[in-house]
Amino acid sequence: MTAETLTAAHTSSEPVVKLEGITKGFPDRKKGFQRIVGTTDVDIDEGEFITIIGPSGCGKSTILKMIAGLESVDEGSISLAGRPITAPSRELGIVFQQHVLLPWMSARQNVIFALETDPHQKRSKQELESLADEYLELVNLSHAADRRPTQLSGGMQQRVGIARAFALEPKVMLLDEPLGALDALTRHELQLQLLQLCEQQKRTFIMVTHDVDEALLLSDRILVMGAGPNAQIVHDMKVPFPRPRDVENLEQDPKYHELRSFLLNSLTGH
Amino acid sequence: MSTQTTQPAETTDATGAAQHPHTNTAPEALQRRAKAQRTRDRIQTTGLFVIFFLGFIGIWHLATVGLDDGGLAPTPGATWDRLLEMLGTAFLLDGPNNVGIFYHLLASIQRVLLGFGLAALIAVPLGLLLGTSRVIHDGMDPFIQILRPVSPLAWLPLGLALLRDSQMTAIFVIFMAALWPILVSTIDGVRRVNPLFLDLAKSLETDTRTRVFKVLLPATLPAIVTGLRTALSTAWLVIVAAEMIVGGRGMGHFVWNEWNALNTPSIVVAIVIIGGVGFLLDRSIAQLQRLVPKS
Repeated sequence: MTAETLTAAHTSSEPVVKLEGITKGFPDRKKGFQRIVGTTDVDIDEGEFITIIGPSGCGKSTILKMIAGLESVDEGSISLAGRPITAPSRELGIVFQQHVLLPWMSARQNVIFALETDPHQKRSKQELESLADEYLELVNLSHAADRRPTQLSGGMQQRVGIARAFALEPKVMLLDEPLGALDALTRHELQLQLLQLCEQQKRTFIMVTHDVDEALLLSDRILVMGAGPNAQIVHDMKVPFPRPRDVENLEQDPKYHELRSFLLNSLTGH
Repeated sequence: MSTQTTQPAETTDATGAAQHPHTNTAPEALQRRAKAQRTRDRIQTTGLFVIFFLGFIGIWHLATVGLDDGGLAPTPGATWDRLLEMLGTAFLLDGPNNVGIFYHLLASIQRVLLGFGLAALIAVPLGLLLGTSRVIHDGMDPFIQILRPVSPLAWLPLGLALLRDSQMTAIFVIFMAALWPILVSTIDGVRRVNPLFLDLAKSLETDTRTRVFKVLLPATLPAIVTGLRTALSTAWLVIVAAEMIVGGRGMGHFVWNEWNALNTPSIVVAIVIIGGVGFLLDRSIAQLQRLVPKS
């Protein structure tokens, strides 16, 4: 399987993102090089919502950072639409775990900052503003566009971050535990909003989370990581529920509970 | 005094509370009571200040009158007379030995601002560079660590030898005094910038210019302002000592000159002026903090 995918690098229906036997490690005095996390070959198709789930500390966020080009890959390679990823790119929109909004700018200015720094496309001031407003509208934040990050709640801050990532119109959205720092109520609310958004926007998503329900609600496919050190993907699971999804229907589906307990068991190591 | 102010406030309390027993907004009476409390505090503070001030003058008077054998000790009365005299001749400019206090002050402020400005121009960009690059920083750090604890005055003879100009030397000494606080504070500030801000900037494919001016600099600004404040107050501390040595015009020179003339009341007046101006300098640079975004 590994050899086959390696040789068949240029097939007609190319996946958007290809992970080819990547690992990350650190130099170790005794053993020379110590691997901390790795994956086998993974192909991610256009429009797919894929979630990497795993116990904390297994290195799932590191994988996402490698895909983002923010961490170097020690072995193997990652490609985006056929080209290897070696540096961060605007084709990969990142939503960080904590909000990363520049505190001296309003919500709108933060989105504009992402748009105006585009080296490939120069836009007029009006264009920038109307685009920024459009994306803030997408996450229902038009009313708070002029507020500074400190004047926004945690959930609102995260929504600005999501709007900013969408504004880049990236090939792939990378979500690094995007709702991990929020309280339970806000989290649930944003999960539903995110579900609506990703079904509307038809993009490729790669998300990292440790929340089983979040993964099942949003994903088409879930990669389950084992425990570290040198954590690997232990399950590659399709999520069969049709879209558009509805939480209430989902929670009544026996299949949902079956998958949920399967995931929980594999995360706790049973 | 304080009972007089509390009395009317308390009577209105009772009526005010009766008028709005159930409203959620703060009733007028409560607001009035808070206001009365603030007035009371202010009166107490002022009263205490007056007491401390009179006590200070009293002790000063007793101490100096008792010690006043040779007429050297500056009594409060003599100092007050001297203060009026110095203010009267503040703008006097009559030959090199007869210069009003205003021109001494002006000379000191000019030196401090020049040396401080030069230090800021070099220390801020250098600090941004050293804060960003671990390798350059580690190569440079031994120099910073060894030179930083040296009293800026130790550079003074070297300055005289190299620059052969007392004015330039004074500015050079101030430069050396102001350099380190700004440099160290800026380096520290850069290191404390949320690393995710830089990840964000990278993921947006921003160029170095944008990264420095739109992300790094604004995020480091609070630390830079802190460094500037420390540097300016250090510079103001150092200038008096430096001017005692280099001479010319300046507060330090004035103080030393008056000591040589055994004119001690002038020294007390000068001390108060130096303190007051130092306070004003600190206040004005602290205004820069307003430019700093709240984070």
